[in-house]
Amino acid sequence: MGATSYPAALSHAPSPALRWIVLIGRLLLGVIFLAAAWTKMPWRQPAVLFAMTIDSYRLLPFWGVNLVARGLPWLELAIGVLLLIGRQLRIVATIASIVMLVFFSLMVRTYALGLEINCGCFGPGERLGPLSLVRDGSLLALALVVTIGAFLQHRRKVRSAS
Amino acid sequence: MLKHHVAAIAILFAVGLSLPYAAPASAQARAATRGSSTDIGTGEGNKAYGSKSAPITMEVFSDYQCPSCRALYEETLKPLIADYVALGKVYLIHRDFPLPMHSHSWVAARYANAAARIGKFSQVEAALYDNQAEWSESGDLEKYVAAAVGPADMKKIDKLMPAGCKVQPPAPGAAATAPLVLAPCPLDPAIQRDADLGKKIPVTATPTFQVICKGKTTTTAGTVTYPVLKQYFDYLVSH
Repeated sequence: MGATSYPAALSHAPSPALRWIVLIGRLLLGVIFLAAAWTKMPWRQPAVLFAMTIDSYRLLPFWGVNLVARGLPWLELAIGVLLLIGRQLRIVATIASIVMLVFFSLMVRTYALGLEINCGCFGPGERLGPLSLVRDGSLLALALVVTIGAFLQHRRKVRSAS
Repeated sequence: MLKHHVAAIAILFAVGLSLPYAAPASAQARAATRGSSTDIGTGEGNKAYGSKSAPITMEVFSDYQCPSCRALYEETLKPLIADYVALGKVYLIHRDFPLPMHSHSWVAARYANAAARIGKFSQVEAALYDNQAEWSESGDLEKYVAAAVGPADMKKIDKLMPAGCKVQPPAPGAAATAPLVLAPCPLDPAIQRDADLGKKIPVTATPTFQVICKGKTTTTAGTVTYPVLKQYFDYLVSH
């Protein structure tokens, strides 16, 4: 990736502050992803029960519901661990942002449709409502900040190396 | 490096997919445990389907005028009644939870409770959900209830429903629009008891259902499809 591909305005971020923002952001996001994964693990909540929560979003066919119910906790675990490790942050943070964007879009859609269901975000019993929307919206913003920060850091590194 | 990360995520995802649906009973109990509230009031008619000795009890808190409740009934509970309830695997209980935002939901619940007292609950429940769009618009519930039970049983229902029962009570906090001279409806205590049970859970929206099996209770809000619910019931019975 060439340095000229980034907008000029983004290239003047102060490096030490950016480093701290990215570090705290990725650690926070990593812990949150791990917590979300933990509440959905098969030994905490059977996948068939989590499948009912996913099904109540009324979006996926039967096989899709089961695929997400069984795979999502492990996807969240992988993202959480990789965010905490911090290697290849641009890739991991981008994946985290995409996942959060999908979650948030689905929640907004469900809320707009007036479906009163459980969120399924951090285990059973949590109602999807304004509070969960604000929380997930904030997490999406955090994921985007970490992603942009990771790209900016990489750009500065490339520039200083050249 | 990109390959390594994608591979790590793919491996964990594959591990998740290959694991059985198992969760130890203790973990499942932690998910949401509550005491059962499956007692049906005696003398108030039966608003339940199936045998009390079924291994699974499902308690559905719903509002006859709520579109999601209709979807749950039509798409999930109807096949459930024909299949798992008929086979003695599930005991299905209806609980009234009329929401103040719906203009005819209390009257609908009263018709269903009156029908329960003469043993015609299933017919009236089906009629109310099947024709929800029509009576929600017109407010003419009697037409659909009468068509479902026939003239002789409709007379019995009418006897159980004096004039006060056919007027929606004012929403809490709202100014009373119904004539206050009307006597309170004798069917209301049974409906209120269901609603109070729901508030203890707490039910905040409809439909909300509890599944009780082997002393453990899970609570789910919203509509689920029959294959997904059936899969959960199969899991409960086999674990």
